[in-house]
Amino acid sequence: MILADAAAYPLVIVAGDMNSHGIGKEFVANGFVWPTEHNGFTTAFFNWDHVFLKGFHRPGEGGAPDQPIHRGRTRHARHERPRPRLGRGSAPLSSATLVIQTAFLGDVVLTTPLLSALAADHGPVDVVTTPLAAPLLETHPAVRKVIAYDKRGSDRGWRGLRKLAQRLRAEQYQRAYLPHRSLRTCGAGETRPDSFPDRVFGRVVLPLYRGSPQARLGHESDRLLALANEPPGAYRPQLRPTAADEQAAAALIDGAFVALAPGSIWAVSAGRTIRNSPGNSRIMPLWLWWVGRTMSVWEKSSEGRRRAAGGGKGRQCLWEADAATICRVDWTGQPPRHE
Amino acid sequence: MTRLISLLLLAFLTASCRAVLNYPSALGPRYAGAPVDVGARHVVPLPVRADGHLLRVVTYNVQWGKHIDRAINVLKTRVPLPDADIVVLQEMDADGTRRIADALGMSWVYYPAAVHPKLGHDFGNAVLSRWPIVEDEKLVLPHIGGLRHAQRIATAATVLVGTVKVRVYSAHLGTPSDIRPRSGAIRPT
Repeated sequence: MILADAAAYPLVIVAGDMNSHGIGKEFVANGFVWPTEHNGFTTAFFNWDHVFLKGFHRPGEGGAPDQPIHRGRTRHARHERPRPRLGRGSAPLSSATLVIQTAFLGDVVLTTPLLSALAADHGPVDVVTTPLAAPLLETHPAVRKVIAYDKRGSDRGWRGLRKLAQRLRAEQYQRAYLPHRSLRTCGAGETRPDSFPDRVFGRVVLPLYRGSPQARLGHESDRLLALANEPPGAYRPQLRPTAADEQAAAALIDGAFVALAPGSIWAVSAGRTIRNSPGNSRIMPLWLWWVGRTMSVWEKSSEGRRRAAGGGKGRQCLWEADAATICRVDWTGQPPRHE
Repeated sequence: MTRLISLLLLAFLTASCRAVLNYPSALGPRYAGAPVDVGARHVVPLPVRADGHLLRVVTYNVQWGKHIDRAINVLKTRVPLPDADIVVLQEMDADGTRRIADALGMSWVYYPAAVHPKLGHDFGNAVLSRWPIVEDEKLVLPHIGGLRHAQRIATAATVLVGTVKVRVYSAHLGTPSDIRPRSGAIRPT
């Protein structure tokens, strides 16, 4: 009906709440351009507000390139909240970038390529991480400030999360990246009043899952690099130990030593470790890994049998010696040993 | 106890799904106005060329017409929204539309589609423009909503940009809960 009415006019703008994204195809099929097709979410989880144009040029497609038609700005009111301390004449937003990575130590290390990429684009970044990982990042050249968030200690619970969110909101970050895929991180990542969920969840978290095949299947550091639109391997993990760290390490190391790369008891992590090991071009399905793991437990030791049957105490830890051999050790306070 | 809960649940569902009061007429109700505060921005027309019309369009669903002050604040302060030439609004009532239009110094036209059963006030679409609105029309879209039997409309306005007419539609299509196909609302009939 709208199209029928619009047919009589050479210049047409149709805009509004379409309650649908797919409806845009109808307009495109009828000669409209759809500048808001790739906009972010305009509601909590959908991109439903659109602008369709007929008879106009898209930005950069001739017409008036020096003064192009702006892309239609679309918004649902429920996601517009007053920006504190930002009225006319107030200070501009911080130009800093925020990265929230409160996962395990290894995940923080694998996030350092993303930090380097973001710093190259936007300048040094601020990072929220665990107190354990904070010293690792304090000396990183891409990091401006490290904010320690002790999610299992002093900042535990809703109160600590809220306190962190308030602190981040006060910083008025212009962009936030959440390599750690957790709801708690999303909550803390509400750095701007209008940032959650469409900015943070929609534009940062979800692309991890729906990005390029490399972003879905590649190494974790490459998946994270994809958040900054960088190709795999563009930046390598980087740590800058201090002189005191090097001195402490030198005192600890005496002669030759063997390094073991810890994996995880989590199937996803372990599976990913196997997938990304050199020489393993084929992807091992997770279910197959689980079957193999269970079988190996039954075969190898009585202690393992108890664990496989649901018994056992403490925590197992998977250690990867090389791509082909996986050894497990009991991590119940005893020194690691081969089964 | 179970019976009481069932009754309460039934009452809640009945109340929340109460059918809306539609305005089926294509003629109205109609509300329109010219800017009360004609600022310098309005009287100095934006540069327009026949081969390159420069218009900035904003669509804004002001949920249930609430938080009008907040909407005004956003439209006046959030870059690049203050540069908008045409603003289309949904889920509005006449008073809220007038307030926003006055705050932005824009001409406006508004058609309600129905009286919202929860809010008790009108619920419809509006077109606001820095340029004069020379024609306007209410398009009653086909298909009544499946749940509340709500009528959907599009508010059409012809805006005179310099010497060029631009047809602008403020549309608010049915939700996914509406069972019938929504594409019929825009397809030629």
